[in-house]
Amino acid sequence: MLSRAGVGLRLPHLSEVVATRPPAGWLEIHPENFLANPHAFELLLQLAGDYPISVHTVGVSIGSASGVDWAHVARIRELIDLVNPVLVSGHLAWSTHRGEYLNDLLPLPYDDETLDLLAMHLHQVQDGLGRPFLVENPSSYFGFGTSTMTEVEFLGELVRRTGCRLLCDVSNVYVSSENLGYDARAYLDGLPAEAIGELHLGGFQSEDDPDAGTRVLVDTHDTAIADEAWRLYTYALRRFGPKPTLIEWDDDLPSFADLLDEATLASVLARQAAQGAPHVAR
Amino acid sequence: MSLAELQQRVRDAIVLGRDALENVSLVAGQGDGWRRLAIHHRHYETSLVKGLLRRFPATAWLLGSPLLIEAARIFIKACPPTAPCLAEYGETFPPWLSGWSELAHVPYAGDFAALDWQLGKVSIEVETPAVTFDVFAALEADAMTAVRLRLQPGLDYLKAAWPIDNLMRLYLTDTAPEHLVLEPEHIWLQVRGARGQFDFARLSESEFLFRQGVHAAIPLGEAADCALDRDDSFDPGRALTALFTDDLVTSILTAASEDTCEIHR
Repeated sequence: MLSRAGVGLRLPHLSEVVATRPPAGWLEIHPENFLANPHAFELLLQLAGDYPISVHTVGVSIGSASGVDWAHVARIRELIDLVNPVLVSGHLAWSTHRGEYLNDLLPLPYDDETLDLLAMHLHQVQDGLGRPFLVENPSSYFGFGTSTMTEVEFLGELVRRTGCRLLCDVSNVYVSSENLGYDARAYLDGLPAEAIGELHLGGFQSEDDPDAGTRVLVDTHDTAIADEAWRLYTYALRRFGPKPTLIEWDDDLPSFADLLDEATLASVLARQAAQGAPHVAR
Repeated sequence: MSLAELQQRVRDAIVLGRDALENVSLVAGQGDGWRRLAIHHRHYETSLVKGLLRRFPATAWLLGSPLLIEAARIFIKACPPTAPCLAEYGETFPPWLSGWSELAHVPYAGDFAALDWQLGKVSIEVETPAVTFDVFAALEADAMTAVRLRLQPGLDYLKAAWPIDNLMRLYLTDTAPEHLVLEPEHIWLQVRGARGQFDFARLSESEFLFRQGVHAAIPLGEAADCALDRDDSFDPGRALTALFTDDLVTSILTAASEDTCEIHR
């Protein structure tokens, strides 16, 4: 059903997409952009009949020690019931603390306490939404010295305990591997392939830290997908097989046509992978 | 250290920009952990300040972007978002601006920002079909005062001690003069919008009190009493009819029994 790559539908493109119905394979939305905007929600419902929709939440914080905002989960459930999405997903992260929303996806220590908490929240969220909830690997700038397992081990155990599926953000894997100094391909090799339900690709920026003499990759979603991420994507396709793939671009948006061009490239690479074609460098 | 304690410390570092992570071991490859954490602090600040500037375009015009950015930077530390949707963040910014000492010389800034906020809020609403007056007229006469009305979602009421509506029109029409003297003046406004459009208009104080009461879903009789307490020449019949002719009423709620009966068009 999702053989062609999808694109993130952000509010500045909404009217254009409603008016012109461009040939996107599918559309991903952040429900938080629509729940507080009845007019945008009205337009989304028009699109839901014509495009497969994926709901990718940035506000359901399954990693928060202070708990999940169940009122927000209930609002998303209402949206889901109306839109009937093909995929529902969120993040291996936390973003809320004692009722405050920190507007970012923050890293977790990977240990038993966190694993117990996430497994519990994930069961509850999936029950609350009435759908499987795919968990996306984060882009990381640092980790915690108290972690007792790697991120891959943590995700594998989460899948084993909850039966959840994973959204593998290939760009995030690249960003984190560069920032934390591990092998991106080994990371992909370690993920349970049978649990992968979706792939993401997004742009990032490189920042120099002249004091430390190092650079850091920042997951900005405000630029084109880097060649390194495309190369890792082809590796991921060989490892996991073709999966629904999304082009994410949230800031400094280009034209919708530019997003479709990126999606077309992802679709071509996926088709080649499905046919067993050799690696195609961009 | 528990996860809850760790998250409290990270929260403080991100919101307050404070190095609250002593005794927390951060792993950052070749990089410095604190510098890496600062990326999240910067994102918190940048994204929320940008969001507030986008949410208060007229206020940025009035005060100038540098001053509004300074205000926003302080505000987001004092009042982090408490809702998941960024578009919902900023409702308490106008009263906060009213109390900000740097704006003591702009006493209408808070009221103006409140109007700015309301215009943005109503403009993303959706109008629903209006009920006509003959539906209301068909009710039993002695039940009418207990009736409550539901009004269009893209509707709100605000009062101010300055003629902020005139100021807003200068912004919207890009016709600000070189010099303008603003004199205090109590005004009562109705703000209405839907699907990207908005409008605002002055009401008399009694009309405002009546409509504000109806909007808050108090019984019609009580809303009329509020208006009559202020102005004994207030005409409830005319005011009620105007709600229908302006297509503001979307449903009529009667309490003929313990169950509320909702009458649509």
